Amino acid sequence: MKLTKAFAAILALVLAGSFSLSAQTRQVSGTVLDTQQQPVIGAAVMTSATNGTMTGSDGGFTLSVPAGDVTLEVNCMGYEVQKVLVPAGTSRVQVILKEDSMLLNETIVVGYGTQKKVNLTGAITSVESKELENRSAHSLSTMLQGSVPGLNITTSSGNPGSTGSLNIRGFTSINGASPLVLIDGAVGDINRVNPNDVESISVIKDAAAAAVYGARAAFGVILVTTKSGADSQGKSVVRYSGRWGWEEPTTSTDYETRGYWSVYTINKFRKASEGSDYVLYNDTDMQRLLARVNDKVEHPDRPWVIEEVRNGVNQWLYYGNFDWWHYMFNDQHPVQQHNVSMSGGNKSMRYFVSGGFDRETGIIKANPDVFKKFNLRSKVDFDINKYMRFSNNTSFYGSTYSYIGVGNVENGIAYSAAHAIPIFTPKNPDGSWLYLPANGILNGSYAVGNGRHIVFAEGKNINVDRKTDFANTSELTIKPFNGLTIIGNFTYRFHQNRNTNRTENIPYRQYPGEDMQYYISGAGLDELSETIDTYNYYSSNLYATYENTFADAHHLTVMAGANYETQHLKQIGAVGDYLLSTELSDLDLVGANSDGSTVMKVSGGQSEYAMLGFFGRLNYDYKGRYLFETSGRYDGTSRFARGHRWGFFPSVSVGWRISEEPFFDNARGTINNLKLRASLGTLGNQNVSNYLYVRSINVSDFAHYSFGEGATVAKYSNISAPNSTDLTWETSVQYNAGLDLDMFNSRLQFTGEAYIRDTKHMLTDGVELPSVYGAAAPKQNTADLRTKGYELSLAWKDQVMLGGRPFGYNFRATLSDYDSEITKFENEEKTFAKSYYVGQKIGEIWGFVANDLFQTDEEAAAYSSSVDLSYVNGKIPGGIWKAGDLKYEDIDGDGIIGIGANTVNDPGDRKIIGNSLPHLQYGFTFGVDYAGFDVSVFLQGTGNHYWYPSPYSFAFWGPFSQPMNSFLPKNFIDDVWDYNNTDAYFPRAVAYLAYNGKGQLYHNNTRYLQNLRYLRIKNVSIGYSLPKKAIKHVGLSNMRIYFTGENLEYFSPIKKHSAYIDPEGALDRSSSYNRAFYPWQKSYMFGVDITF
Amino acid sequence: MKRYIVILAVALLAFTACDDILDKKPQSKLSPETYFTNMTELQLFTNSFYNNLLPKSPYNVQSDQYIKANPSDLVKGGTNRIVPNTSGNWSWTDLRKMNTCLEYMEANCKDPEAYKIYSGLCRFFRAYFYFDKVRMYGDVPWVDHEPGTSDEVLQAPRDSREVIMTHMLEDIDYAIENLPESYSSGHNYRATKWAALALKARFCLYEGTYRKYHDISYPEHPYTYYLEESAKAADRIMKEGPFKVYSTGKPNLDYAVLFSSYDEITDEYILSINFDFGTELMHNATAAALMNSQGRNSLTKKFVNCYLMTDGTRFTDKEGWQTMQFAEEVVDRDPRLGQTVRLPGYSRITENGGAYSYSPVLEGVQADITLTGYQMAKFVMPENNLANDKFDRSYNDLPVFRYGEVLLNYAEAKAELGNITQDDVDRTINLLRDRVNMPHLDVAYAKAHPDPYLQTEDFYPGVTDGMILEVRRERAVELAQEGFRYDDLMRWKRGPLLARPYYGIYLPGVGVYDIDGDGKNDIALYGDGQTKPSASTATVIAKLGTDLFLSEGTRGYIEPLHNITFSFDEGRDYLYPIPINERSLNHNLTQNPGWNDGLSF
Repeated sequence: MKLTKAFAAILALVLAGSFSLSAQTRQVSGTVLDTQQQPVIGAAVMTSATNGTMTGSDGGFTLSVPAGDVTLEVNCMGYEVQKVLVPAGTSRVQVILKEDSMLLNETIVVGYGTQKKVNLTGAITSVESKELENRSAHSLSTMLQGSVPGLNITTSSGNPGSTGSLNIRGFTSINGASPLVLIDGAVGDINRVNPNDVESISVIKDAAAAAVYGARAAFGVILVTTKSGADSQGKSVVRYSGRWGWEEPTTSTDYETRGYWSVYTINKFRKASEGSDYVLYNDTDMQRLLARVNDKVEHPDRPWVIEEVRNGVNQWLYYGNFDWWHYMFNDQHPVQQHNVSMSGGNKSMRYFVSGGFDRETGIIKANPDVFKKFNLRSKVDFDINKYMRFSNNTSFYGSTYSYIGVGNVENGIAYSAAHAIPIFTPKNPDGSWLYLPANGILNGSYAVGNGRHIVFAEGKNINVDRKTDFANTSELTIKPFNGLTIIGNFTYRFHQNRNTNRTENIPYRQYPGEDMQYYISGAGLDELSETIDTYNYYSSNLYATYENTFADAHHLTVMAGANYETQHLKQIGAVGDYLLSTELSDLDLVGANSDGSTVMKVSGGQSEYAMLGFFGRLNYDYKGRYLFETSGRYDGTSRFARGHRWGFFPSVSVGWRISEEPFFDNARGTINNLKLRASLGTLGNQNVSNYLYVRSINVSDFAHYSFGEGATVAKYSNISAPNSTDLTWETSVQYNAGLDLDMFNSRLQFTGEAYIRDTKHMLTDGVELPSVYGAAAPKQNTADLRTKGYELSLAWKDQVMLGGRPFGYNFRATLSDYDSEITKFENEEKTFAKSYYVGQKIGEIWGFVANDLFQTDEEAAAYSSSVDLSYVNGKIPGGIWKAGDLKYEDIDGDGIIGIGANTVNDPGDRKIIGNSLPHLQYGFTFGVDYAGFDVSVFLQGTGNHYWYPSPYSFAFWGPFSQPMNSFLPKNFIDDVWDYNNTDAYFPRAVAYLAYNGKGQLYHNNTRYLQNLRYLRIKNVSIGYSLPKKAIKHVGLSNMRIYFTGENLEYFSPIKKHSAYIDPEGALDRSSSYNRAFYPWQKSYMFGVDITF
Repeated sequence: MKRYIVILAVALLAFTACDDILDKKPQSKLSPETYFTNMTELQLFTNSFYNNLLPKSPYNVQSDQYIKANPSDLVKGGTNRIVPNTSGNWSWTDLRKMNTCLEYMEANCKDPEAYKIYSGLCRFFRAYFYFDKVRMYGDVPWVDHEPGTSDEVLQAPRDSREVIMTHMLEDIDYAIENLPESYSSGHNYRATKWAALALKARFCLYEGTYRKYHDISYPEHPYTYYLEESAKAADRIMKEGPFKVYSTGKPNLDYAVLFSSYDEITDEYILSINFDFGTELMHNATAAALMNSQGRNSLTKKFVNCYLMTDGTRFTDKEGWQTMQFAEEVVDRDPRLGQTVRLPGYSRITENGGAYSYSPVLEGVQADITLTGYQMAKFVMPENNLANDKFDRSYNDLPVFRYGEVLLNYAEAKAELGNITQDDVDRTINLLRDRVNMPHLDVAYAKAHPDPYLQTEDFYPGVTDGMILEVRRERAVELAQEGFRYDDLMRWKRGPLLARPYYGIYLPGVGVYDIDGDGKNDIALYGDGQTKPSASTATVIAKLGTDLFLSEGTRGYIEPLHNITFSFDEGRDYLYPIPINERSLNHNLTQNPGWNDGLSF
């Protein structure tokens, strides 16, 4: 009741606010000048939220104001807000605006300290909490996508709880390496930070800014700073934000569901390839399917399952038009997110506490998968006395993902993607599950959907992935005298992954009237597996900073310190079979099989590393005009042998603030900041496995071998691959040049960066060796790589008066690109049999030129008689090329389609046909706010980005991959070449052409190379903030209701050939595990933010 | 202020303990420097060779004797076989482990007994490893040490099979001298001296006959040298070993029991692989034989033709054998036929406290399971647990080497040398015939009467020695489905047999057939224009020329793989192709003849 009343009151006020109350008015005019007596253009002059105007080119304005004394509020970007009282009798005023020192003094979090933004000489981009507020993605990494030029986020799965992986400035190293992520100074997982707790994120991109992190910072650093309490004179600020909505796939789930057309298509493909059908249905069966082809649901006169005697056996025959995808999976599924925080403080103590909860229901229909995430944070700091401050920061993260499946959630989706063709129904007429159809229906022993529909619906294969992450940092700050700060801190972090996996017998019936059957091995084995990985991490830092300005011109900051950290991992795993319960899952319930044997296995493992580093930095500037910084770190790691483990990583950077030069005085009105920067530095990468330099013997259980000695499978020991003991740091030498430009009182902000990064002594498999070597080639520091790139960011932010109210708008565009090239690799002859060669652009795709399909058999015969196509024709039926086959061009003119010497200089008929790295990545944000409403749109995308669909890309290849896919693209046959369909995209129907190494579609070629470039509506938010006056009465200081949509739509050339592949999800799907996968999701959410 | 600087300095010094705190050694793994010292360690390390190298489904190797609905690319040949980029067959991982083990053992092992056994075992497996390589690739590089990254062997050309065989002989002779005659477990799940001798007999026979028929000669050793070595090795097992042909005096049961017994019969299994229900170590032999869904495994007509009559005469000498129907042709044949192929009145063996007998009669032919009508019966588990007639639920032990093979290897080596005597046959083939109560093979008679059927294009045209033909018949019959046939064809240079039509039982034309004579109709065959018989007419209803093809159109042998083209390229298919990547990484590796790998050097 109370709530309704409050709501009605709010509504009334909202409405009232939209009409301006008419009363007596008078005119006031004036000029707005800055401290240099220059006119300020575009300053908003207002008397109330609904009455205002804007200064013109001369800084002048005229405004109708109510009679009597009024207060004008003058507001302009880059200046402090001024309030001017205009007494009743005055009609002319002059307002002087002071430059906003806050803006000038804006600080950025850097390694072991903060710096004024204007004094930065390295390449650092900062993201403020405000930019993340509207985003409803489930992890912080996904939210950052597109917001920082040069920060690349990729996601490898659409399943609940999946997170993005981070990369700074493109291809880092051929062993892959991620940026260092520090959360309030300690190593952490960015995806476990509650986005609502974030104060700012600094993305450190170049070596100069990262050098204080030395050995771990070769590929950038991301510093996440969480919110702290502020002195609010004892008053607490409580915020609540909640969102509710749903998610659904970004791609189509509208697969072929007509039994007749599925069988027709699948059989046509398979017969052409193997000489026999896949569904062994005769004419009668096909007639029955055809009779039902339009039945969306089962028609009583035309049942989908018929019992009949075939081959002397009474059996079920299936004639359905069954939509297996939507039987097993939901399109829409609910999500909700809640956050509460409280902060405040007084002169000597400040606090911030927060809690978050995120619940995401997944797509599995019968027993949905559920991801739950909890975040807690508590931060307090005390001033012990004038010299000392103590702070403590505790965070807890917990998540559980429970799902039905086998081992992991993707398994259920991948394995259900085979043999569940629409003719089948999940259950037989007697209510039993269909797992194996009667012998003779399919050409082989194939289990429908591999029984995953039974697993889902029975709900007994419960798996739970649990993650907990606890971190606590205590920090003491001592300021013994002005200018010197000493900070010591200690962090303990405990995190654990605890997974439970259960499988159970799969019940089914193959023939009417038979006893219930059970699938009891593999996915149907009655087994429970539990694993626990526990990490204990300790880190301590001690550093001191001294800052002073000499003679009003020489500003100096010196910082030096040391860091030690160590992490220990302990693994425990146990597996038991034949549990006494199908409902309960605990290792205490492990029983015995019918043989009386108990099957249990245990496993263990542990590893640890330690790092020690000494670092320092010196900043000097002369009158804020000439900036100089040098920093470095001396680092040691346990991951390399004695004698190879220490490295020194120095850097230097300079900046010139041209806009501070006396000669720039005249231009300063337009250009308020112009700075050139340059940096150079070396960093190390110790991101290698813990004991790479030690050769070891490990002992394992056989999966399947025994010598009849004892009641379990036998064990064996194995030796790790040979190694080099002289392994050492992979280093990256980075050059960076940047330009910062702020114009029109910082309305326009531009930053441009260009860089070169040389990754040297990359730890690679060294030389690729012939198999005769008999082991993986030992890693060596042998390869070099050069990455060149640039980043641009342009932002405009302003407001104008519209109908007497300020109309604020802003946009920001970012663009980045890079190219990576191998500059050293042991592959003199440049053979493709080795992974790399000098001069290779990372991501380049070599392929054949093949643009056309033969249109007549004669054409094919003539061509194949003049050109030897045997290298690419393994799957051509009978070895005879026909109309509808792909015409491979003999570009080297030797009459043979081949691979030459398999080298760059003699690649046969192949050439570079594309590059698989995403190029020209961009983001575009546009926002307006007016009269309490705010709208923001965030677009994100990539330029060219090529992909040759891999053999298991069923969604793309359909039966050209394997002809037994459960989820056949709708009307696929319409795109397949035929005499009546000669301009079709795909060649003539032959199964396995893309799947099998012998097929003509298996080889990369120009016709089927896909461009994945996309433009994505990443986020749209529409909000309304209720007028403060209105909500004050119900005790609120702020309230906003909004809609936010994530990943709403994408535009991409891949759409033309497949509605089922998200351009960000077109990963290398090269194993059966990827026949189908958790779809990428978009979300629609409605939310409310309330501040008390 | 001074105070703070002191604190800072002390703190910094505390950090400077440096290297010691950065030494982290693995806590859950052992170091090779202190390993390879005793029996336990060496046994653990060598255990993986058994798992990685020994064949775990010999019953499933396709050839002209045994075929599936979707034959393997190897059998189909032609464009179905291509040169791969990489291949698991060209893997050298296990060889490196053997060499690693030998090298470390040399330095670390102070127990002479352990050293003796496990160096012998490593070398046994090294010979085993190279035998696989030679069979597939012919010439291959020889590596007997742990190569370094710049070892010249990585860029070496292939060594001739003569070089490899010479090293293999050194290895196997060492193994024979050093491996124990038995293990305390009483099982033959681990390699003994006898297993080494059996391996020697096997690969020497392979090499001898391969060279003889492919006309390969090296000055160092003539092919006869290998045949003699083979015979000598086999002879040693026969004279010194504890093995015998397993027999309990039940000619219609003993042969079948040997392969279906849950636990190896150590009378005859020299080395075998342990399978066990309790620990879920299982294979697929039973399902392969009994389930429609396992590829419809089938034996072929020509293979069945090889079985003699119980009186020792040849089936193919009988009047009208060509058009004999199934129920008639299987009467009075070598008892091994009924223990290899499912015949009318077939029974599953049952086990009762270790004693085996036949269970009550089951139905005969299951027409929808085989393609040819000849359903396999060997390696099928005793029927006391029908729940295990499923995919991968068989746990009868499988042989790697058995005495029967050794006897046949001896006989063949002698026959190929041309000096086989009646005594040789009595010590070998006739022992196997005794088990099934078949008349003895007579050398003089066989020499005088070479079987014309075995000289047809379907078998061995050009082989005139009647003893060689009879030894090959005996080998086909006795070792059916034990994984030898494909290799036998390769060494006898009879690859084209893979491209001959695959036939099943004889059907005189359209009609309804009770194949096994049990009073129940198995196949109803109807022709064009005829109405389809009702489903209850027979188990299988097939339309001639659509569902089922006969070798002569309207009558003849069932031709189940009618739509599939088989070919065998004699200039190419006796050896596997070297993978493209390997040749790209080592230009000195030559490609085997006839293979187009797209590489232009």
